Amino acid sequence: MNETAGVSEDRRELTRLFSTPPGFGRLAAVNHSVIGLRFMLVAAMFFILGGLLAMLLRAQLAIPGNEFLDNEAYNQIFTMHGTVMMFLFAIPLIEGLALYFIPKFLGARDLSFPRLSAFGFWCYLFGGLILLGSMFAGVAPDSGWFMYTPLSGREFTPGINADVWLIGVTFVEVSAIAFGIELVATVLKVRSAGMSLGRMPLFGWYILITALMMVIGFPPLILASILLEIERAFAWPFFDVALGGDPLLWQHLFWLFGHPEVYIIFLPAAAVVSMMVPTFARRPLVGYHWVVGAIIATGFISFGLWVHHMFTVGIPHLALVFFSAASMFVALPTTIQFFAWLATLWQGRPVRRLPMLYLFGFLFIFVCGGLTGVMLALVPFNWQAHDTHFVVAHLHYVLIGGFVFPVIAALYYWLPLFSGKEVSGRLGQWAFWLLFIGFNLTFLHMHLTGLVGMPRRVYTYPEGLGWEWLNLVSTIGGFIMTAGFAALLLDVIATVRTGAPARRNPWQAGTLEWSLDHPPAVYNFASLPEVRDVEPLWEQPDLEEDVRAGRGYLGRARNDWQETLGVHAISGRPDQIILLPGPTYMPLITASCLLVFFLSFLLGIYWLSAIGAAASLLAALRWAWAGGLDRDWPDQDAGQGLKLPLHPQVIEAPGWWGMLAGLLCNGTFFITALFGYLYLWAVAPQWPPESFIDTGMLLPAATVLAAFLALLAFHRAVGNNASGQGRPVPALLAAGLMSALALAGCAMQIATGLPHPTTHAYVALTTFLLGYCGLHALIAGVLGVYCWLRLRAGYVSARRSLDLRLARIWAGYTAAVMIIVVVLVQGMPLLLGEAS
Amino acid sequence: MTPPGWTIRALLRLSAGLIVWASGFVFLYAGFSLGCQLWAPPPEDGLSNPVTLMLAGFMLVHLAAMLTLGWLWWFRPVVAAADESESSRRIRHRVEGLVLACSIFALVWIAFPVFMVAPCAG
Repeated sequence: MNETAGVSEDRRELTRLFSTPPGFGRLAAVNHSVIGLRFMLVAAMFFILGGLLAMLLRAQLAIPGNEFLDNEAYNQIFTMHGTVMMFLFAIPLIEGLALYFIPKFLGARDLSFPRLSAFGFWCYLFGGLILLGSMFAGVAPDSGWFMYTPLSGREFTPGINADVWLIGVTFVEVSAIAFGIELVATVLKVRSAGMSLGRMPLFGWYILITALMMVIGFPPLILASILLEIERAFAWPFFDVALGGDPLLWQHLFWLFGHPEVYIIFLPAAAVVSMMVPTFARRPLVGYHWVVGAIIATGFISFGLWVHHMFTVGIPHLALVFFSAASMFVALPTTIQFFAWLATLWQGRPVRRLPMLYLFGFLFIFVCGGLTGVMLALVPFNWQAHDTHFVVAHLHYVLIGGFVFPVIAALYYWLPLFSGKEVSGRLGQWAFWLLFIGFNLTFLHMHLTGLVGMPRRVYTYPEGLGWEWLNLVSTIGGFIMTAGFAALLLDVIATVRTGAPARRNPWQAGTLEWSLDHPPAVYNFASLPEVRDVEPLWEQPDLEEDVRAGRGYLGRARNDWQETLGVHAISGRPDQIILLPGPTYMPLITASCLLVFFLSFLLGIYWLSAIGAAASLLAALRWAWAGGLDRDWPDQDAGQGLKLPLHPQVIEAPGWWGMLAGLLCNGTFFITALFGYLYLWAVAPQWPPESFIDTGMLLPAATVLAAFLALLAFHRAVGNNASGQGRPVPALLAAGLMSALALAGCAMQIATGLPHPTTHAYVALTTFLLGYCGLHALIAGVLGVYCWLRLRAGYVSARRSLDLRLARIWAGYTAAVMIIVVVLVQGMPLLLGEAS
Repeated sequence: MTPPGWTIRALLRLSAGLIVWASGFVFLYAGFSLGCQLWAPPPEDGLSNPVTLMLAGFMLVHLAAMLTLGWLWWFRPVVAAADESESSRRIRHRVEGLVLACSIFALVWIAFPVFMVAPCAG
């Protein structure tokens, strides 16, 4: 009896600690369930908007010569349809799904950086509202969702339509990057005890690779957007062919992001399939390690296909064949996953349930989309079908088949868990057949529409071309599909509002999330489990009861701490107790400062934009200040007789992994910028420029030296702090000073060695690269001062050295990029240059 | 307690084949682009030209690196982390092998056009 009372008391205390405050306090929410649901709900709203836009497009194309929409409105609507579906629906829905479920699948109480995911949500919402607002203001983007230059340049799009896209999407991308960093650190470090990589649910693998792909895949788009926005705002000619730029650079950068994005969308959908198939087949997935290998292979190879979107732009034959081969090859790992699912169903005892219906829809439609993808990878066919409705049909087969159908299956599968209500099924079946028939009626013969010659992005067409009935049938199919989505929405609302209470684990699944309350408590697990299998509920029948009775890890609340377990990334051995932050307004404040920056830039109020940027940096530092411990703590009892250190006192803390993931993202941005520099040098017609950089060798050498001395000083500070021999303060101040000198060196090279950036793309890109180095030196200097202040305030000690070590990593990165840029900028003219 | 460097090496080893593949991809694509810019051979030279030779060299170097990884996989399999179960270690070992096999196939697959098409034509 007393034990039961103790468990109830612990649960009450955990509920108090992990709850989101009411009223305006909801704006301070950081709990992963709250943020994940918000992501999914907002993404669903944008999906409805994107669907309505699609209906307008289909209504316009239903008959030839239609005057329902004019050219200008049609351009805005098809651009916004693509933008909303790709950037405001698909990616954020994945983010919401992963943020909500990952801790529940991995047996944790929250994510590694809950405030970062809250920040990501606000960035997503604000960026989305900028794009949405532009529609009501009549200045929505109208150059297509991939915003090709020169159409999107100042000359052909003089209004702010393109700026809205560049700034809105970049703001939303900040959210995606935050997600990537968050999930890499979480999947590697925040799991249950015993959950080695080999016992991790496949969803964890899929999300780990997806998060890494986002960290690597989104920087090229962010770079492209920044370059184009700078060109539009300040006339730096990155894409202007008359001044040494090249419009094809935009296409390369865009598709360097754009093709991996298809897999960024597909992999999480495949993840939910891999979670559901074993449940309904009543057996573990066949070929777990084959699927893991296939996920990793997809992640890598998807970065080697981007040029197949550019087969018609005039590329040498060897490159065409090279990318054609790579495009076909990526089908291999996808096929492995398909065969693993089919083999699981074949070997198991499959049961018919509503989610399975949608899974079969997925299998059928996505296979068709994959096959037309292989057709488009063949260069001669691609030349014929490029920019026709064939491609529109193909991409919808891939994205709706490969993403929307699995997501609906997932919605029905996990609805009992997160709503606590039973799925009835009847209306859901109607919805499926309406969607399946409507989808195929819309898009199956749209392949033919393309093959008989109808191009994309035309707002109307004349009679007599043989396109009339094809378009009319597509429009009818589109409205049937809309009816299907309406039935689905109705079913979900009816289930949530009036459904019968859900039975526990209604599908008899084997993964951890089904051991939770339906709906789950705010803290997820009353105590954290120890797992010994990929499907622990099948192999450990007592696990659920043990967790509920507090017989797992960290079953008792103490010191007002929100705790979860940190484990070794490979073995799953517990190695730290992670202290999670409570509700805070800092993510909202920081995102609001960024909103000021982006909005004022959009409106051309650059002084306000500068203030917004400075305020964002200050807010980020204030946010960081709230973390950490102000004194050393002994190892704490984690339960099961285990004592563990608190995470700020551990070398491999989540923040360390977060910094590595962040620098991976940053490094990709940098390498992509180098690619742009070398690409223009090799390909752009108006090269070489009038003159090259002229600074002499002393200034660049001194700049690099200062950056390396800053690194050495940080290194010394870390060493002094760890050993206790010597004070870290002078070394930190020296690091700050050297960083300031490196910043000054970069600024002087720009000011004294280069003409104005508007004169040639060479000057613009060189200035950009030196500015990038200068910005990093500035941040290194700020970190030096920040670490000094933290030291003074008692947040740093020999055991609590994370701040210093992170600053050292940053300084190392800064020194590395500094030397690469200086060698490149000074060396290329010597090696290849002969000014015109 | 395993040091952070060990963990990162273990994670990199899991995907080592594809990292080499990615390097091979960059060398092939960049080598072809820059080679055709700097030393473009006349089309009538066919496949006997310095650019094709250079690309073939890149491919062979990367293939050799992959075969070395294959040797490591066979003779020096991954070791378990402290407290890691044998089944988990075995899964890492198998994934590493599968990824490596896939990488070798992918490298040969994307590099074969080098021996089929004159590099700078078109």
